[in-house]
Amino acid sequence: MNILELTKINKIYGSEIKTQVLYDINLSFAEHSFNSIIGQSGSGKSTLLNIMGTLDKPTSGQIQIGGENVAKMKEKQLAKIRNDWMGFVFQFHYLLPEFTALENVLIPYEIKNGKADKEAVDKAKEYLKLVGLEQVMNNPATKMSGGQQQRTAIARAMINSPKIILADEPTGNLDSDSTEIIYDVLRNINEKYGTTFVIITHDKRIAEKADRIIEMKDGRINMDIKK
Amino acid sequence: MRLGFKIAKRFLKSNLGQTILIIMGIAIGVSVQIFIGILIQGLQKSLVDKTIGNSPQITVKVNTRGEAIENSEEVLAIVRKNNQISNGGTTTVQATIADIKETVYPVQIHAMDEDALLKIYKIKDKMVAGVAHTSGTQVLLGATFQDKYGVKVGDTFNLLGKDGEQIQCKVAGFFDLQVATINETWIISDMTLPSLLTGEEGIKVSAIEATIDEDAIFDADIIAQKLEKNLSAYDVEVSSWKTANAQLLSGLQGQSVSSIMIQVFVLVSVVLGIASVLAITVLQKSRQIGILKAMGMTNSTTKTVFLFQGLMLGVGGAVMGILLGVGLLVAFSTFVKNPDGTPLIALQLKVGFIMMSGFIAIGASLIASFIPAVRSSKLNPIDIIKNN
Repeated sequence: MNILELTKINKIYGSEIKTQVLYDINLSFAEHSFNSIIGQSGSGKSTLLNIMGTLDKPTSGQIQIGGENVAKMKEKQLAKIRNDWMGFVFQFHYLLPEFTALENVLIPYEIKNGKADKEAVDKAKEYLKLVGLEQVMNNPATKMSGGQQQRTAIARAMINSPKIILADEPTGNLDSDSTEIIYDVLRNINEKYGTTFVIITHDKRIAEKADRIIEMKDGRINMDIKK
Repeated sequence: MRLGFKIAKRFLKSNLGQTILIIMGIAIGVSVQIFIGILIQGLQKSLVDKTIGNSPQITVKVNTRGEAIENSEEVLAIVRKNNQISNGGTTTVQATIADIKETVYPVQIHAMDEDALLKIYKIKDKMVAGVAHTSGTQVLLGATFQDKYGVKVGDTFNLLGKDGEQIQCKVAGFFDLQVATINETWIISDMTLPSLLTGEEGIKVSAIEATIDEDAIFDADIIAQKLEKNLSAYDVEVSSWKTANAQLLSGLQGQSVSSIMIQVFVLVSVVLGIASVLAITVLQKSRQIGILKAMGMTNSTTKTVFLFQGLMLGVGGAVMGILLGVGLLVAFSTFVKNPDGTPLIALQLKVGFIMMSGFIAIGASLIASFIPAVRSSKLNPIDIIKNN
């Protein structure tokens, strides 16, 4: 069963000088799958991921998330879809520096449910343990290394038990040891919780470990290999 | 809501220096507002007390000059019935000649009943010698008679009556109303003396005078109008201190307007200060706002983050400002004094006004935070993510 389906997605930036970055993209992602998207800078992979995550809107085409068409949804509905269905991991971590690691992980939960109860806190701690951060979970976000911040961001993406996690170069800013750890964490989550992953990466080693590799070139899908 | 509050609190805490500076800015605005407001109110009160506090603020007279008020008791009862009237009394003025120690002086007999004597003119507080008590031919004289002409308490003198008749009076005391012409010419008596002089029977009332509640002092003209309506059955006209003291009134109004202007400008500067600082915070925190939105925070919750910041800054600033303002007032009344040791301006800590200044600051802070709140709600997460 497909959890995410893109049909004839086009994206054009600008109104006077038009730049088309995506051309008639048709893609679907199966539930529980672990997918990677590779491609050169400017090939349109980040734009595609942002459209999948409802952060950006396509110029034309349809997106179905869990069978629901999100193209015509209002901002408030999209916010709910993001909160319920998606987890995001970005290259630049984007933790809130005003909060500790544990508090950062709990934010999507609080957006959804209000005050975090003990159960939610325990769950957050469990995810932090899963990403190997139980020792530093009360540290402020600014007092952690890049790899630790990225693992916190992964735990945060997990807290609402999303069906899909979208990650844009999650290891792009990290050294090779941290990259390996992050990959293991993501794969572990995929196997343990059945979360669908779509990961943009430059790192060939990471891409090769995915169940499916999609290569983008000049706004089109150049290659789509399923293992 | 709760999350908005929590994030707002953290944002303020993370930039503690900036937060303290904004709170200080609001506090100084509030304290200036309280200090200037109460100072000017105190100044007005002491001016009003000194100028019209010891004289009638409402006067009822007959339309025809020189005539007595008919049914004066009924009229007085109607005047007293008004809730805003604090004291009412009857008076009569009669001009005559006094023969004191074989010198003649033109004088004005100001006959007044006990209420007018003690409660309106507050003669008891103005006595420099003798007692504030009049009855029949026992009268009070202005202080000049004692100081300049050597008259003493218990002395007797004659007043010129009808057909050259001399009526002997006894001095019960001397008053000082701090106006030279009054101290030189006024003789205060009870209501029976004018009739003795004119040889007419009964008591003639030429005016009914009244004071009004302190809070309603500037509504004197409205009260006068209301009374005139109530007294339409009688041939009388009602006037207020406002018509008799137009210059004083315009001075007081000028003061009020300048006080309000100062307060408005302080308020505007507080609003602009908060709005500009919070607008910068939106820029400072745009990354956080973008990521919160990407995680599913709605625009309305994003707005609450900034509204709560405005509210917290407003409450903090108001509390600090009230403490600072009250401190300034206490210091002012403690250290700025007259030569005799009394405070230069008697200040009253009006809780209502102080609370109002605080609430205005909180309201202003909330309004100021609306602009950044709306700006934050328009922030698109994709712009933040794309541009890092």
